[in-house]
Amino acid sequence: MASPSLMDNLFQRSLDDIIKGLRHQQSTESTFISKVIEEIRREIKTTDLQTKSTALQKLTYLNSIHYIDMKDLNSGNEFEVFVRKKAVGVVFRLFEKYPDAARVCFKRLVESLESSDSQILSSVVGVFCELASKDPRSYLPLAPEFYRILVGSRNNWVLIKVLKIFANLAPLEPRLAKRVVEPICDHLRKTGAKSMVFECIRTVATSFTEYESAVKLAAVKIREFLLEDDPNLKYLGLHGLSIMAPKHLWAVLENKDIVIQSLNDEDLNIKLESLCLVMAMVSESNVVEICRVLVNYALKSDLEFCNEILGSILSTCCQNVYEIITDFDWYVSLLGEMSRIPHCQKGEEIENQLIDIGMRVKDVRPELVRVGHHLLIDPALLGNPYLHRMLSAAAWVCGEYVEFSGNPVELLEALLQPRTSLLPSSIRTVYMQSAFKVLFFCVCTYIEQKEDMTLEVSDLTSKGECSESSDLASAKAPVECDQDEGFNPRNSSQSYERPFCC
Amino acid sequence: MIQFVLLISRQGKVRLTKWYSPYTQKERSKVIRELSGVILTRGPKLCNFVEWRGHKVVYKRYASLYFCMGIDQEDNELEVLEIIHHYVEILDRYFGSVCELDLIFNFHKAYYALDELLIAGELQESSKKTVARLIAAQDSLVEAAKEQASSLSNIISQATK
Repeated sequence: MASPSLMDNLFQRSLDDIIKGLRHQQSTESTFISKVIEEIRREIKTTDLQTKSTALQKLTYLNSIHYIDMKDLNSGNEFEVFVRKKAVGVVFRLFEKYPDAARVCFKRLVESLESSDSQILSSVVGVFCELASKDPRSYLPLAPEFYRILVGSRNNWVLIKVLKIFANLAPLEPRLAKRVVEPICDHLRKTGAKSMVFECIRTVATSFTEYESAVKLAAVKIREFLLEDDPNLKYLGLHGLSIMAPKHLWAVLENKDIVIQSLNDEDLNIKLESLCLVMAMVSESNVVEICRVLVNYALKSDLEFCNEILGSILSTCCQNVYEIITDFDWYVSLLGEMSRIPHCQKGEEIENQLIDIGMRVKDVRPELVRVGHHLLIDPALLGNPYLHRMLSAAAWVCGEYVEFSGNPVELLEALLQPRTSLLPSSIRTVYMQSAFKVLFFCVCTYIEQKEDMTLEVSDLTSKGECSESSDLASAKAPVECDQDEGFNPRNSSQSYERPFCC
Repeated sequence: MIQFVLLISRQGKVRLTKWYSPYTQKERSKVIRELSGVILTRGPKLCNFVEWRGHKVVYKRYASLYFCMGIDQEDNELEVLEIIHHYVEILDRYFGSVCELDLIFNFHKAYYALDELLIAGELQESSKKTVARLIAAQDSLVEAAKEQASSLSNIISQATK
């Protein structure tokens, strides 16, 4: 490139010029950029405020678009407050890319912490906030400085950043946590700014969970948020509760009524937050009650939220191989009920669970067959494509455990009804296999009954040899009577484990 | 940190965009398109925070414009609402009862104000007076530069003759 001409020296290139220049350059971009960086290096060292700020502006642009290496540029000395602030801002982006640079500028940054100028302070604290979130241990020695700011500053922007820093530092050093928790509670009690309150709640709920009094105070403040009309505060209150939930479920239970009420809110975000909280409250003792409440809400909700509710019920109940369920009969009937909800799109998940439970829990098979039977005879369900997988499970279950069925003939009719043509062929296969299983079962039972009856008849005939015709006639009668009654497998029920009553 | 700032009109026209993280052109249009869809359909009584693709977006409607800022998970939403309000007050002070038309015809000034307010996605100037002073200074610089350019062009045209 030619040596700087008169024109270059007279007029500092503005940001627009750089952008235009870059757009024109296609192949020689890197040389252009290095020339620009040279210029910037010179300009930054001048004392003229305007030149410096333009140089910084160009630098920021280049950094955000072209990720250049700015390490050498930080050796410049900036004393003016205004420029320094911008320099700190720029420098922080640099640190993200080149963490070594942080070490180089560390001393100067720490000096800035002591600055009395609030603007510099807020920029520097902002930088440390980001740095501490990535590598908290290195910034632990600066804790006393931050403590001073926490206690002394009145500027909410700065205080919020300092709180975030302490949220990262406190878990590493319990003695630090002990000292800091009091000033934080103080702020929580006294501040008028809701943003500050929320940040304090968040800090306490994430990093100071062992301090009972702090947590109790935070819970009180959360309740205040929840009772407000402002949807923003309500949302943040619920969000705060969900942060607290893992370690302090009592806080959520205390606010149970508000949480359940929020399921009805107009705002989908609030509804989703309350749904998460409700699922967090579920335990063995209350799962039946909670599912009842949720299913009622699902019936009243629109498509999206309805499926969110059903999805979360299904996933919570099947956690750890159905840990929280004690009454499987109830759960299986709930699954049947969920399939009937008009908006339900969770056919696949219900299918998996029906089959899974059927295989694992022997005692629930009769109930399972009953539920499956009800689902199969309903012609309306065949029209809903989202439920086809679930119907396939119902068919399989009824075929596999047909011995528990109260009315196999009706079952067979359901499996063979004409509307099954609406089903995809893979599911019709399952239907047909189940139909064969049911048919085979019916035939076997019928033959067994016939055998039993023939045995009875031969007993009778061997006894009554003298009075043939009359005895034969009387012996025939019971058989005919049986035939007239129609086929009923319950007569042979003594051969099965459980008498089944429908 | 704030990832991006968008100003969208009620009809979905974009009035201002500022990106504090590297987003490709394609990503940017995707963000604008999808966020417009989500935010413009929200009712007036709903809360001002939206979860979208792992980001949180804080938005507020002022007259016919939606001011949206995308933030990280750790950021304080109420603080960002404050920042949006701060920006609007600065614009109001500068333009005197600002309306969308002001921003359409003087978008470069809206950008100056935003650049004074936010650097690298962080708030860096919380005093409205200072920002007003700085923008006024910027304006006078622009005026001076215009004058200079018109007189210098004479010099140059003479020098190159």
